[in-house]
Amino acid sequence: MRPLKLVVSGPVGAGKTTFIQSLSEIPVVETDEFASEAIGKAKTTVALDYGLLTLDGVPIHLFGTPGQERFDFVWDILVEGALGLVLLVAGDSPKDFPRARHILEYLTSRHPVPFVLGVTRQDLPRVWAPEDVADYFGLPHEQVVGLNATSPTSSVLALIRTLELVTGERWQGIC
Amino acid sequence: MAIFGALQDMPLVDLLSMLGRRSGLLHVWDAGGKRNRYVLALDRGNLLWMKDDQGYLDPLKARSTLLELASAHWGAFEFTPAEPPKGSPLLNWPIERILLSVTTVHDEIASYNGLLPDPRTRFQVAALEVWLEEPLYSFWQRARPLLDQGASARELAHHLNISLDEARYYLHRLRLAGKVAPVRAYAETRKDEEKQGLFRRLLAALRGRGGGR
Repeated sequence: MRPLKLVVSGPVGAGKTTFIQSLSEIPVVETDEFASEAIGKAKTTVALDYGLLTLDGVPIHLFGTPGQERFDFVWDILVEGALGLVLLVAGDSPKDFPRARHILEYLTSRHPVPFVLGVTRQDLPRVWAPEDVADYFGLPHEQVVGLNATSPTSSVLALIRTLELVTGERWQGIC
Repeated sequence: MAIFGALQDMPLVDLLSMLGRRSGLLHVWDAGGKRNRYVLALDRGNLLWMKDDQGYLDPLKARSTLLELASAHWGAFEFTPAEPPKGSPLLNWPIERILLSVTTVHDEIASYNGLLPDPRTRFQVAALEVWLEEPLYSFWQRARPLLDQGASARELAHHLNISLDEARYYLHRLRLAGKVAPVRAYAETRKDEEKQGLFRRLLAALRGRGGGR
C-alpha cells in the first residue's frame, strides 16, 4: 500500500503549520522564509511543512501547503493520492474566505480527495461559527469543524471528521 | 463622405452611439492586435447580425466579441451605409441595451476579479430547472452539455470560443444563482474496500486517543 498522507491547506495565516505541529510526533520540518510581500506576518511557508503521525502502527505523513498563490503549483503535487485534505481558514478573517474557497474548489474538483473545512481561532471572542462558514462555502455543516489549531485535541477532532467522511461512518456529533 | 477611424481614438461604445439610427455595415479589423475581421450589420438602432471570417456569430459569441471590441485599445473601423443591410437577422438587439449589457459585464468582471473561480476548477449542473436572463441564458444554453459532464472555465472558454475571463464570470454568476456547483471528485470515485478497513482502524485508534466520545 502507498504511504498515507494527509494534506493541510488554506490561505496565508490560517494556522496550517501550527495544525501540523500539534499533531506531529516529530519536530515539524518547515520551509519558512521571510515574506517578500505584505501578508500580515514576517515569515511564511514557501515549499511545504512536514510532520508524522502514527496511528495503530500506521504512519501518516502530514503535509502543509504554502498559502501564497504564487506557490500554487505545489498543491497538485501534494494532494495527489492523499488520504484526506484539511482546508483551514481563520474564522476571524472573513477577507480570506474567497481565497480559501478558491483553493478548496480547485483541489476537490480535480482530485478525488475527501476533505473537511477547519475554521480556526475558535478561541477568540469575535469569530465566525463553523456553520456560518459552511453556508458561505456551500458545504454540509458536518463537513466543517471549528478548531483551535494550537490544541492537539482540536486537531485530532478534525482528523476524526476526515476519516468519518472517508469511511462513510455516521458523524457522531463531535465538536 | 466616409466614417472611418481607429478604436484607440474612438472606442466601439462611442462609435456605436454615434452611428445611432444609421443603417449599414460596420467593418472592424485588427482589433486588439488580432487579425480577425468583423462585420456588424446595423439597422436604425438595432444590431441585426455579426460575422467574422467563419460566418455569422451566435448570440454568445457575438456578446463575447462585442466585449472584446469594446475593450480593445487598438483596431480600425469603417462604416458603409446600406439600407437595410442584407443577411440573416440572427441577433436583432437594440444597440443601446446591448452596449449597456456589455459594459456591465466588463465592469463586473473587473470588480469580481478576486472572487472568480480558478480557470481549472470544474463545475457541474446543480439545478435542472433554470430561469435566466441574458447574457447568462445564452451561456447556459451552450455550456449545459459540457457542464452535465463537469467542465472548467478553461474548457468552456475553449469549446465555446469565448474569453477565459468571461467563462469564469459566467460560472461565478451561475454559482451565485445556484445553477452550478463545484465538482467534488471524491464523490465520483468507487470506494476501495481494503482501504476502508484500514481507515476504520485508524479512526478507531484516533477515537481511542480521547478524540471521540
